[in-house]
Amino acid sequence: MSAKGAYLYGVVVAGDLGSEALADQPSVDGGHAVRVVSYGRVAAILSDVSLDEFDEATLPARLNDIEWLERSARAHEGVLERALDAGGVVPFRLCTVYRSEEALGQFVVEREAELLRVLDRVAGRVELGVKGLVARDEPEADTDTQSGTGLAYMQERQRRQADARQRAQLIRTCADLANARFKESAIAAAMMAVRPPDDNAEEAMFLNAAYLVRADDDAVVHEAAALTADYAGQGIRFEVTGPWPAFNFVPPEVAS
Amino acid sequence: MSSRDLSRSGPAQLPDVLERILDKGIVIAGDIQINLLDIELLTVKLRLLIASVDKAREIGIDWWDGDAFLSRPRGQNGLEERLRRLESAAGLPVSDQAKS
Repeated sequence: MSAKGAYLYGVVVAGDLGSEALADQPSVDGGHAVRVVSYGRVAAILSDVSLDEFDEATLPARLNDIEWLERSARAHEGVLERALDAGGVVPFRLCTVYRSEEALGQFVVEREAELLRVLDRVAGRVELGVKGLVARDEPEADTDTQSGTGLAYMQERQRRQADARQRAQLIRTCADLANARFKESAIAAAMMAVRPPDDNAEEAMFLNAAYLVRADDDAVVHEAAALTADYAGQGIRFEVTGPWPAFNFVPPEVAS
Repeated sequence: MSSRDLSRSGPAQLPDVLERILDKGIVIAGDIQINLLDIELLTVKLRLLIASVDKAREIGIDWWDGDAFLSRPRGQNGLEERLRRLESAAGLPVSDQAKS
C-alpha cells in the first residue's frame, strides 16, 4: 500500500454541497470517491490520491502525458462545475495535493475568514470566457515579386505591410470596443493571454477575456452575438465559454 | 432558477480548461510544489500555452500585431519558429527541437 495524500479541488460554504451530489463524479485518479468535508463554516471538496501518482517526483512525467493530463483536468473541472451549479466555489489549481487529510484541513481552517470573503463575492455568480477570433488570410501563393523589378518588389512589399498595419489597427479597435461593451454588463473583468493559433487554424485569437457575471445574467452572451453580427463583414466573431468557476476572480493570496 | 440561467452548450475545449486550472503553471497551495515551466518534455503546444499564460499581455497582446498570425504559413516550420521566439521572449532556455 502506498501512502495516501489528499487532493483539494475547491472550497464551498458548508452545507451548500453534500458528498452524495458528487457520488457519480469521477475523481482525478478515477479511483477514490470525491467527498465534501466540513471545517467550521466552509467545506473542502477533496479525494484521496496515491502519493506514488501525485508526488513531486512523478508528477512531471504524468503531466507530460497528454492523456493523463486531459483526464485529470476534465475530472478536476467536472467536480468544480458541480460545486458551481450548487451555489458557488473557490476553485483551486490542478494538482493541489496535501500529504494528509489533516494537513489539508489545517490549511482550510487557517484561511476560513479569507475563504468566506471570496465565497461571498462569488456566490450566485459565474465566470464567462469571451474569445475574439479573426479569420486568417489564405496562404499567399509564391508570387514572382522576387524576379520582378526592384521597384515593383518594394511597392508590393510596402502595400502588404500597410495592409497588415491597417488590419492590426482594426482588430485593436474592435478588441477595445468589445471589452468596453462586455464590461458594462459584468461585475468584474480579467484579461487572459491571447493564445497563438495552430499553423493551419483558420482563425487567430485576438481577445481572451473573462467576466464575472450573475448566474442568471446572459447579457454578455447577447452582446457577443450582436458584436459578431456587426463585425461579420470583417471575418471577426466572438465566442462565449462557460459558465466557469471564478478562476480569474480569486485573489492569488487566498489559495497560497 | 430563471429561464435566463446560463448553461453550458457542451464539453469545454481542453485549452480553455487548462489555461484556467494551470494558471501560471505553478501550484502555489498544497504540500506538493510543481512548476510546469521546469518540465522540459511537455508537448510543444502545452509549453506554448503555459508560457503565454505566464507572460500574459507582455507577449500575448502582440500575437496579431504583425501579420504573422493573421496569415496561415506556407511551410511546416511555423510552430517551431514560434516556439523559439516565444521561449526567447519569455527568457526561457530555447528548446533543442526548435533551435535548428
